[in-house]
Amino acid sequence: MAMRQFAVKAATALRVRCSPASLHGGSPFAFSRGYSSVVEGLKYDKEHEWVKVDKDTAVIGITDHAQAQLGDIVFVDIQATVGDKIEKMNTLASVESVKAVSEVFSPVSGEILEVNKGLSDEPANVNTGPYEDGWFVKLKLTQPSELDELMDAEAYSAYTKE
Amino acid sequence: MSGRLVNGARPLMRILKLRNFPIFDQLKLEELLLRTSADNWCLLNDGTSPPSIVMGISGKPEKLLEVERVVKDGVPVIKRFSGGGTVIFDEGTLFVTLICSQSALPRLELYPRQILSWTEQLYVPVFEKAHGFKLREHDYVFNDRKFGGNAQSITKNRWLHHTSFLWDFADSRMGYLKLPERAPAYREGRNHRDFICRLGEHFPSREMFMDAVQKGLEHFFFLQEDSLAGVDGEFGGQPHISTTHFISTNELTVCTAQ
Repeated sequence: MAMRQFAVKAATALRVRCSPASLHGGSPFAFSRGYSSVVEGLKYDKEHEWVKVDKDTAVIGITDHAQAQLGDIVFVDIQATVGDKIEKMNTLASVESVKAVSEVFSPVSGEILEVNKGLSDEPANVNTGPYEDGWFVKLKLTQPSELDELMDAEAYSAYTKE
Repeated sequence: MSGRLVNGARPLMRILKLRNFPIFDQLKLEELLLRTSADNWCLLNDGTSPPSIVMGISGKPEKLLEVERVVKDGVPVIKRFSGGGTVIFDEGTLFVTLICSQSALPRLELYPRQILSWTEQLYVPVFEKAHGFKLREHDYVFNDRKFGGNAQSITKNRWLHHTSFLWDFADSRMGYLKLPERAPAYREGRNHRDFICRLGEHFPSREMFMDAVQKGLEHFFFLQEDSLAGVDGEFGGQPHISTTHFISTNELTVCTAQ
């Protein structure tokens, strides 16, 4: 745990970058994931969810910080289905870890286009790949201006240190 | 009322004292207060009836229960809204539930391990005269024997932590439960009888235990007693997400057929 914390601090200080285009379909990191907890090019909210924007669609997941704090995730229940229209801060999912159920919220409003059904069988993907296989939903943005209220990687990195 | 400081710096906590309250009703009440109230709450329930099995949100009956025996004996099975394992509750179980807003303990990060660590601070003085109390992995133990199980539900700016304390238990009822696949390392494969112990062997009386819990809470909160009637009048009927439910006999039977 101590080595991981050192690595996270080092990576954050060095502003480790990765290509956002490689997310959700490829290896996302220039370095091994253990040396990076925040991904450049994503947007973040204070509830520790991330948003990857591609034109008018967005992919949503929880951050490396969140998955580390939650512990081993043993169950994911995504409560949205394709076609649902959700508002910002609606509950997207419940995750179980360490005997606790924690809610995951949507940082933006939109219409659900795709749900990561793989998390039902492999909930640990949220731990091992929070920015990769651990994504939760893909949606079509209905209020793109909400993105302006989110943090960039630098601001989120600072926020997690508070 | 929510989050306001009274009597100095301690936030207000409303306390409900129950006795033999059905566990299904208790869980429904907990969800109601977690999701519709902005206040801090403590629910104390001395025993429950009828004896019931309660599973965590992800529990699978076919993996965790001796289903045929459960169905044959007509034991109610409930799926609760919080995480954690499967337990059987009866008249020998004491319940302590805490429901808090983040503003009540602003330095407490709303993550499972942090909340659990805080509860250890709460319970250490409660059990100061009982030998060997500690939080071990995620259980309350005397040395290496578990006497209290807990689970949590965390939502935006609010959290719930509920604990069931085994004041006493019937060995025969433990036979409804299978050895879980996921178990704490310190369990070391022990069966229920060798893994758990009775709180009643470490405390003079149930009343003294409940009093000690309240005294422990008073370090952090100003307690104000409330009533079920008052809660029902204030919050009853408010729409909210409610996931606690019974697992029907038909659903249990289907599990064994698969």
